[in-house]
Amino acid sequence: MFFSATAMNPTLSRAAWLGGSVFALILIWAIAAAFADPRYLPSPLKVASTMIAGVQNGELLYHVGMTIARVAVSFFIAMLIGSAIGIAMGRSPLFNQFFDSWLTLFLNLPALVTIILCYIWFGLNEPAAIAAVVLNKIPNVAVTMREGARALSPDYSQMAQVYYLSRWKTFRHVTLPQLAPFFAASTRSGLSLVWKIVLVVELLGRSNGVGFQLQTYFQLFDVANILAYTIAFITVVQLIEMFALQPWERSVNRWRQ
Amino acid sequence: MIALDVSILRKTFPAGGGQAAYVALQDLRFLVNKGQFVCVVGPSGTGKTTMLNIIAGLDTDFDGVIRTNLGEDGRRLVYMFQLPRLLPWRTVLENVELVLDGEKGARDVALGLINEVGLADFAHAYPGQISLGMQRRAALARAFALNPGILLMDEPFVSLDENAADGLRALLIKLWRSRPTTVLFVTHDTREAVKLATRILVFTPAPAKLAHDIPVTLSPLDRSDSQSVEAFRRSHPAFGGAFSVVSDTPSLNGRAAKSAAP
Repeated sequence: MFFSATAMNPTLSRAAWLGGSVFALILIWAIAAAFADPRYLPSPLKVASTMIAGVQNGELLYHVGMTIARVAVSFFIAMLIGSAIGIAMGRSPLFNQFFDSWLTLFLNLPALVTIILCYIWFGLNEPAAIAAVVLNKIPNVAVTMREGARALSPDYSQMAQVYYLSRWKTFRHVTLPQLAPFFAASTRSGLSLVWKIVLVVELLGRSNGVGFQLQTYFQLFDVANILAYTIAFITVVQLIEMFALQPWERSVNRWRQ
Repeated sequence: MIALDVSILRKTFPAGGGQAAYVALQDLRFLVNKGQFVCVVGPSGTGKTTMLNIIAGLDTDFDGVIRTNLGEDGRRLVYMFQLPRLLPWRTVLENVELVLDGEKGARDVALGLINEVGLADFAHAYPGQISLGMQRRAALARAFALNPGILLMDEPFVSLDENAADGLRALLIKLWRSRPTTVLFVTHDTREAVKLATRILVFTPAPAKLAHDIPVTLSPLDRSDSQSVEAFRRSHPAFGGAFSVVSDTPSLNGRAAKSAAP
């Protein structure tokens, strides 16, 4: 009992700290809004009611949903292709030598350039939008996964060979677990990158999604809606982080002490 | 019946990493009969591990031939490394189960072996949660799970205290008696060799060749008696002068060739 009680304390106090600091932020915002022109900085209450209205008429959920769908699709494609390229580069020095300069080029290519070129070359359509996000994300995944592939322990692959593990078993139980921390790292950095790029892609060439809505409300000078969308978006990202990413990382790292 | 025919004409490591090219093994030939427990001793750096890697098929870059005869179907050549090399993200049970080809009853076989090596209470522990001695017990269970026709062992009990090592040796002998197999056991510890082997091969310093081939005829009782072991060791000149090293740092691949202490 004594131990479980002390174990509860850190989580409780963390929740208290989180609640307290968020509350303080809202308070500062409310005070600032009281002095500012409501068109420039609406009060937290006004933004909350805008958000509720958006949820009720279905618009907010629709656009946030579109954005999340784009994020999900481009994220998975980018992870798949980026991992394949990264692992190949980590395993084969020849491959690495050849593609290393390409990787550097794409890493330094501004996201905006890829987006514009994709729209010009493929038209203002969904595949072009997804391609633009994917192209921006692949180099980051590849670089991380290359490190992972280089860190693979020869001891374990010898073990797999000597203990007659099939290719699939070796991949599934020997290779993948060693790559898991690198997957986790590129997932984290990748998601935060993809969120941001998707908004720009939507702003420049789509007719729905959070990015498109932000553009619309920018033109209408509707700060309350801009803030409502921003907060809704941040909330969804945080929920995914807390209820999908973190549990997955915990289960992958169960064996670590 | 011959289980293992080793005939390595030459094994060279090419120059690289600031090291000159280096002949690890030369004209190394010997036969092992089925069911023998053979210990290979020799100064550290003689290429004993290199030889095991070649026999296990991990190193195919050598001149010579290795012939193995595993006996009945389904028996295999199994290699136990110096370090346990258990997968840290799988429990003891999962590590043993992994090598059992998903056959029916694999779990029962694995649990039976884990029980036999004395890890029943730790079947669901991760390797990082148990001691090195226990990890080595788990590695023994995994090795025997494959039903070895030939079992190669590379100093599997090194860097344990003498009590723990003796416990593991007794366990190995017990497993070997209940599941007869041909064992090729590399060690630098001649006492360990006398305790375990039915036959001891003594290697020369690198490039390794066979220097002595000594049958060990001690009874099980004598083997557990340190005085009889000492007496046997002293009775044979091969254990005396060339290398009286009892403990030194074993090199991982035998490349760090330094002649043993005088």
